[in-house]
Amino acid sequence: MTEVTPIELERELAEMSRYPGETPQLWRRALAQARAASASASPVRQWFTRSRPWLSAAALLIFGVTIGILALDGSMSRARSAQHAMDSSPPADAYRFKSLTDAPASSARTPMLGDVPVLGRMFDKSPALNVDGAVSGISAGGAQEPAQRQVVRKASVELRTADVRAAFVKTQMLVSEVGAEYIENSAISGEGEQMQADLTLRVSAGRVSEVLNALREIGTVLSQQFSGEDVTAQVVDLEARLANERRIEQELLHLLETRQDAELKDVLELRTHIGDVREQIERLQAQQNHLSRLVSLATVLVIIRHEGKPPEAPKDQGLAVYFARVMKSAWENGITGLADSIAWIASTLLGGLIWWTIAAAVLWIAWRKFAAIRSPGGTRPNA
Amino acid sequence: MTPTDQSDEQLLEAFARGDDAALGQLAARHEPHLLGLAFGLLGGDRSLACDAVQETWIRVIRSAAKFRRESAVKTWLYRITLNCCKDLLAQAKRRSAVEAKADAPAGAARGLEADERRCRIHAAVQALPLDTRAVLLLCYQNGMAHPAAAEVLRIPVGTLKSRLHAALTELRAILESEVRP
Repeated sequence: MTEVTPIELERELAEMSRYPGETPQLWRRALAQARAASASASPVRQWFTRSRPWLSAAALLIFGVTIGILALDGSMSRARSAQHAMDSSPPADAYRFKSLTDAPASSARTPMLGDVPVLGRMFDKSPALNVDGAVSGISAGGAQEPAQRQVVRKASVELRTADVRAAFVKTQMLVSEVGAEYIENSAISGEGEQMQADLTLRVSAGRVSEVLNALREIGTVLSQQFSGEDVTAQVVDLEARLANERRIEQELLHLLETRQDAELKDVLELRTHIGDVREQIERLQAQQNHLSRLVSLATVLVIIRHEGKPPEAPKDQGLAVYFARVMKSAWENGITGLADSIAWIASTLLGGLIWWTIAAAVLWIAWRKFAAIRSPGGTRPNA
Repeated sequence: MTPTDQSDEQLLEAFARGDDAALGQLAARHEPHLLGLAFGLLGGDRSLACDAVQETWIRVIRSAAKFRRESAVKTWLYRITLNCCKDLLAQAKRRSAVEAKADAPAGAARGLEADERRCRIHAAVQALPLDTRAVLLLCYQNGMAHPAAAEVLRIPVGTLKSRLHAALTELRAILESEVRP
């Protein structure tokens, strides 16, 4: 085998780059093929090809709008959450009384707490259960008037006063032992400006307005709420069940008296039945009495707080101070906004990492395709 | 102005305006060289070379109106051909080893000494990587100066020269290894 000289090598390389034979006029075939492809392209595809820039712009616009809506929704959600947190921050008491405006339809016509004469009339008309369980104010036919409803009433008052302990004592004295009223719970905690008193009073339903008026004289009212729960249906149901049990008791007693000659076993069994019925009657009566107490005695929750130093009124300190305050506020708002934005971007990027990756891959592939169509001679690096 | 007096750019513009004859004129100038390049790159496979050049013209026809004159038309054509060859090689490699199917150089079986040398050189060139092969073929093709070849490959002229030197060294090493086994 002989060695290849450089001249031979160059000659052979040049020879390799020469197509053997006739040039087959490939441009004619390509032209025919391109024309055929163009003619056979469906109208939809032609339209798509023509509208590609507009479609791309529309897709980008939709993408941007979607991102904007998501961002806006996120900020609104944060605002709603903040508002909800403010609304749902509970007072110091353990009760969760509904406000008057949120009361159910049955009590929607209940007058405002501050409307003392109306409130007084309402409580005056509130019926009470008799000892034997009969519901006063309910007709035999079952037709009920609005004023005959049995309503369990609750009120909440928050006061501020300079002397919490004195107010605590005065509030305790509002309860009248004569009317079967009592203090369900009372507590005082903290010292100095942190002192706070909590009382739960059970006062006669007819005296609620009187007690509330008295509380207003003890301290400054910060807030007050009132709610009512309609228990008429429970009262009627209890009465019906009680009447039925009493009827059964009477029947059993009558049976026991008329069958004196019955066997001892049957007599004992009958007595056992009578005992069960009486036990049920006692239980129903206890429930009725409990409801009666709930209706006749309203619950008043009183929270007394110390009257701290009132906030100082802003002094007029001139334009420079005003400007400095505004600038400080603007700076704080800007920093807060920046922090929010960074947090949002981070959460968006991290939360949607998979989707961003997929979108980036799709965009990259689309860009490669687009670049290949647009510039067929420059689609890839050559080395 | 007759078609033969027009530059490549003018011919391409004329074709973009609807003059098919201008494309024919452009093809008459460049198609033999494009076929030669494709023939060399694709291992002497005529049909593959024809496919590559036909695909080149299809892409030119589609993109003639969008040609941005960032490079010479000739450079653009060579670049498209190079890319088409790479595409065809990739497709062919997926189907089967196209290198193995390459036509043997004419006269290889005759046993003559010149044909034997040619056969050895062809085999050695085909053993080189495609990019190296492209450097060699572009630089030794008729009428392709180093700056033009560098533009086709999108590399600096200095880089082209160093790659050409490396390619020749590698080619000689392959041939010498065959001489002294």
